[in-house]
Amino acid sequence: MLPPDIPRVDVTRKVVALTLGAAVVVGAEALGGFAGGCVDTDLAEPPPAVFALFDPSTTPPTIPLPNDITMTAAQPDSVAHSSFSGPVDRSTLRAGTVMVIDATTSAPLIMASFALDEMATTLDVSPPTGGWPVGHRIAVVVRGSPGGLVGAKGEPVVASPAFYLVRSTSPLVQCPATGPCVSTTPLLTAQQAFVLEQLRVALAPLLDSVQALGVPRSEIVLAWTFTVGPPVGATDAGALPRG
Amino acid sequence: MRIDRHYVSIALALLLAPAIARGGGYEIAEQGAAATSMAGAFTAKADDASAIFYNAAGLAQLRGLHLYLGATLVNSQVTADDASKTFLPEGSAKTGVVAQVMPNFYAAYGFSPGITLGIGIFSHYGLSLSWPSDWGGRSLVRDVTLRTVNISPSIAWQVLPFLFIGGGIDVISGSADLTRTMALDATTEAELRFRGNDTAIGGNVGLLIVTPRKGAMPPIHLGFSYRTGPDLDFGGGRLSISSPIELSQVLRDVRAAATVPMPDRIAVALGVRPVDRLFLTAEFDWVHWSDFQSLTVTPTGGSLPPQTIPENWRDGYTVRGAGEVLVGPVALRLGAGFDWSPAAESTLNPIVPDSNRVFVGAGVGINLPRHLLIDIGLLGVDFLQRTSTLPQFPVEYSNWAVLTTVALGYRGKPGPATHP
Repeated sequence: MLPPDIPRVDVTRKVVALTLGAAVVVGAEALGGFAGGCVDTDLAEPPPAVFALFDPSTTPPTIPLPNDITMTAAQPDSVAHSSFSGPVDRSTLRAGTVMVIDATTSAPLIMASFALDEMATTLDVSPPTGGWPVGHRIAVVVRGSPGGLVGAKGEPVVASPAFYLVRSTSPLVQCPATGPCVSTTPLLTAQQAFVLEQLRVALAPLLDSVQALGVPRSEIVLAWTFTVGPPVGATDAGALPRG
Repeated sequence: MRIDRHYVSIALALLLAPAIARGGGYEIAEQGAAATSMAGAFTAKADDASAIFYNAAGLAQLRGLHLYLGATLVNSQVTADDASKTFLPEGSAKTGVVAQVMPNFYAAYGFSPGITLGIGIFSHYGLSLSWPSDWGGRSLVRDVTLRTVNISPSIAWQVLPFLFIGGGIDVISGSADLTRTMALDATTEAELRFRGNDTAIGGNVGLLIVTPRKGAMPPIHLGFSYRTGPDLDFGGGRLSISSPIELSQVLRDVRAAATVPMPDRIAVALGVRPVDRLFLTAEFDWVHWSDFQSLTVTPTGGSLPPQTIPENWRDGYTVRGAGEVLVGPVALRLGAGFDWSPAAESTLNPIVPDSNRVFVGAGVGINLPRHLLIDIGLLGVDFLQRTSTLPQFPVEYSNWAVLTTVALGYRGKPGPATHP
């Protein structure tokens, strides 16, 4: 059964036309815009950068040599090497961008020299005349961008992910009184974090002292130490060749 | 008719505006101005073209051309309170006040044998929250947007004078955008942003029985609708990670996948027209929210493990009641309802800080010359305060929303069982 008819109020013809017009416009555009509500899912490339290579978890470890990590003493005449993921602007290699320190005496070794190889991807740190002091622990600190080294194409020279964590001022593992240690960063497993934590603790005094000299910690892209042993026969590879 | 590009752009922007979590969970149950005025209790009535959403069977009540163009302005805000100031150092945080317009559009044509074809465009599910950038819950969410657009071609048939059936297909285009932070160590955070698109196909069926008045027995309306909820699988999504440049090689953009369920929905309703100018209805809705057990973003490359936020939702229930009275050319509508939140307190989080809610709607419909009509409604939603027991972020949420809705319609002819 139909209800009774309803009287209608009066409006102008113009309002009627606009009403129908709006319906047509929005309806049509809604159909057209159906596929247009998408979000951008194109992958973006990471920003260009030159990394100071450091990853002790690889086989063999990607670390500067000689290095206390290897538990092998350096020779007094060893040339220390570290590598970069790309060429470095030679003009940015200057005093202050590479610091060589006698960690045993806490004195800078100003007579040590450093240079980039032909490809400008490897940093060579040569001992002072007479060689590295035997029995001493030598530290090398590399300063990256923006105050230090810069890539050949102007890219920043930055720390590797592993060294980024090593230079952190906060522990990488938490070891509760009961239960196993856990990583404090989602980037590392507990085992990885435990290994890097030993290195972080060992290097912290060195990084603190360099930071005290006015070098921002965020610009320290690499630091390592090696201990100089007495000269041995030529077959003893205390100073590992560049690899 | 000349269509100005400016107005076209506005119309498009309106359609694509992110919606607001309003129905249970992230469902948006307000898809028609008349229905919203009746607090969504429309399944047993379904006598305008928005029946495409509420109960497709109701379309078979229509004859001739029916158009229904609506827009709902939603204002809402969520507040998180932490009296202990343990998780929110300032004790409280608010989302930005959302003021979004959600349009909907329906067109139907009823042929004389009792067959009606229709198409509807609306946004059934949506979510848009933007928390302060440095707020204490940023590791769970900082910004979240879920947009869906349904295009629903429908057909309905008046099988018998008192029996109407209908159904349709739902082509659902959706996009998701979720931003949160991840602590890299004690002092450094990375920003993780997942974005994905998907299109899914669902369907709906409806049934409407309208008994004729017999003596003292008034017409009885029985309505039923079922809408499937296909999951939106954002399989080819993008997980972009903003991190220190030192980590840019290991935390680079990667493909990622996430699934957001669009739950099945069933509505059962009873209506009665004790006198010709009065319609009363009660409705019960069930939404299969227990589909939503977790939100997991799974990178398909890179070094990050899957990021899972447990949800453990249960099914949602809503009861609604409403009435409509015709006074001259005007229909006065009033409705109210209660929604039991599907979100579990143990996992309640700021992505969808859902809670039980009471809502009250009111509105008017006015018949205009030349078969035109206008419906205007208002719906107020009071979200009951709720405290999360989520261990990493146990805060109290409060929420409010006000929906103002307007629709313009063209109604060819009223069919059987419809009011004029």
